[in-house]
Amino acid sequence: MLLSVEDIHVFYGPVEAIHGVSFEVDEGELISIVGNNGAGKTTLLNTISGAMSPSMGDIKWQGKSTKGMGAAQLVRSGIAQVPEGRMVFADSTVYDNLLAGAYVRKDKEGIKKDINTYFERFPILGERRNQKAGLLSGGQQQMLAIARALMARPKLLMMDEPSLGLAPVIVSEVYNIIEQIRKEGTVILLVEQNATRALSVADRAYILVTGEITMTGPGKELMHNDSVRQAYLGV
Amino acid sequence: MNEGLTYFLQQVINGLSCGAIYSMIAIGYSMVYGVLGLINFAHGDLYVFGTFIAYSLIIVLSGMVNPWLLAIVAGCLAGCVGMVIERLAYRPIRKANRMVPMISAFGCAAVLKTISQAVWGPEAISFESLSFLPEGSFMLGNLQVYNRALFIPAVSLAVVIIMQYILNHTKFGLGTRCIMQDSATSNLIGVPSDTIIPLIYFLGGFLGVMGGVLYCSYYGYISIDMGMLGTIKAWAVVMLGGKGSFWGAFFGGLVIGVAEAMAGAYIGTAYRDAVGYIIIVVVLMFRPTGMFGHKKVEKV
Ligand SMILES: Nc1ncnc2c1ncn2[C@@H]1O[C@H](COP(=O)(O)OP(=O)(O)OP(=O)(O)O)[C@@H](O)[C@H]1O
Ligand SMILES: [Mg+2]
Repeated sequence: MLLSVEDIHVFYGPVEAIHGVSFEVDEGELISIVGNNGAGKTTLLNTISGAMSPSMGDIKWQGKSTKGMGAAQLVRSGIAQVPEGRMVFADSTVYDNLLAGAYVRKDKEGIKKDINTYFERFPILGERRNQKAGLLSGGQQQMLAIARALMARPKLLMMDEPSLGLAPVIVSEVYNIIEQIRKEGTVILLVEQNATRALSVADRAYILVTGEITMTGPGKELMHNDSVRQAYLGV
Repeated sequence: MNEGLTYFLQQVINGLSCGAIYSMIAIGYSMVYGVLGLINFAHGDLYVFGTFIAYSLIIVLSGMVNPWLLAIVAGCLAGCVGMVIERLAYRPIRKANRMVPMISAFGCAAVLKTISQAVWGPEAISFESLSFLPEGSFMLGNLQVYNRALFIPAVSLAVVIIMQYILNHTKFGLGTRCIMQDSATSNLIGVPSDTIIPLIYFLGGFLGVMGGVLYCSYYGYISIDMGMLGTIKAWAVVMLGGKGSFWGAFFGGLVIGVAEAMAGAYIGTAYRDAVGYIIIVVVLMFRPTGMFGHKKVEKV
């Protein structure tokens, strides 16, 4: 198993945000976790990223507990995140944003090569390489945030609501990119409120309700489940 | 040249050297401000502490070692103290409410000040004989220009250029720029804030002492009261220049230095130190991100 989250509990001070969540992500998979506002999606990803620590339970990455590993160390070991709201470095250039994504790497040549690869893949980023990232549109910033995370050459890419605040056309574009990345062999853990999209691309999915997983199954199956349809698909 | 003009230019020159010293003190302060997002009230007492150490080193090793070398040693010590402060007083509360690190900064300032006072006493000590600054002067028309009035801005300019180079062309600089903009995201994408932030504190302390040595040499004495005054002036400089901007700190320092010299010359010496406070208030009222600062779009 690539990643296994084992019954973790996560607190903000005295408030418990994650109440014993377990799930697994295996090689080759695209996993979605769907949940409403405040369900604990971001908390979950940040805990896997090492920015927060579970008070109980364990997270195993490639068979080993991640306890005590810092966020940078986890990125180096192959877990990258596209944070909620994109969070590009607005005052830095597009180029420097990508460079920052490769901070854990030491192979200068490889980094340059990868940056050029992403400039070819997202021509708008190439055209604007010397512009401040804050001047990009929301969709362009999302591409940049994805490319920035990929610059770490992760095995597992975690994406926190990549469709948030984007126009439907752009959302489709983002999801095309997600499927592309997955075809190239990167494992993806996607968390979303936008259940339609997230469930339709997922091999397996989990439904997260106020810090607990209430349902799991193949993405397509959950899409046709009545209670999921009522709660998340508005039908 | 008529006398009025000569007097005016003389004041400008005085103001520029004084301002260049403020710039030096403010550069390190500005970096720490940039990552902390708040006024670091411990900066002033840290730079005075380090400058006292430089003073003692020079007294003990008088004549044997170049004073600037000793100042660098003292700067490194103060830098290390800065790193200890970061580890003990800031890191544990990095995620807490902004008031919390501000209070712990006051705590650190009090500790440093008490130590300085216990070791070096509450009185001002002469710094005159320590020969950090070049002697001599030359005439430019009927304007007397002291060599030190050129030396101080030159040192300050060199420091800004070096720091700007580090910020823009090194990996540490890249990480620093990321952390200054958004430390949580930096952390998530693998920029190791736990190694970069202590280095920023180190530089803050180190550059503070370089500025402190110039400051005390220029005025000819050192005293523990320079701590709070230095913090306020560095704050005013950063308010003008924008936090995290080195050129902002440089020009902000010069502006404040010249404004103080003008206030001292034409209004009265008692008004000199008021200039810093007035600038803080005015900038906070009209342009809270500073002259060179960027407007930051905050996610709500
Ligand atoms: N910094 C914080 N301090 C205290 N409580 C927090 C903090 N951040 C999140 N919470 C709480 O933890 C719970 C989970 O929040 P989280 O941000 O993980 O949800 P989410 O599923 O990502 O929501 P959204 O869809 O709005 O992004 C919520 O009840 C939230 O109020
Ligand atoms: Mg969230």
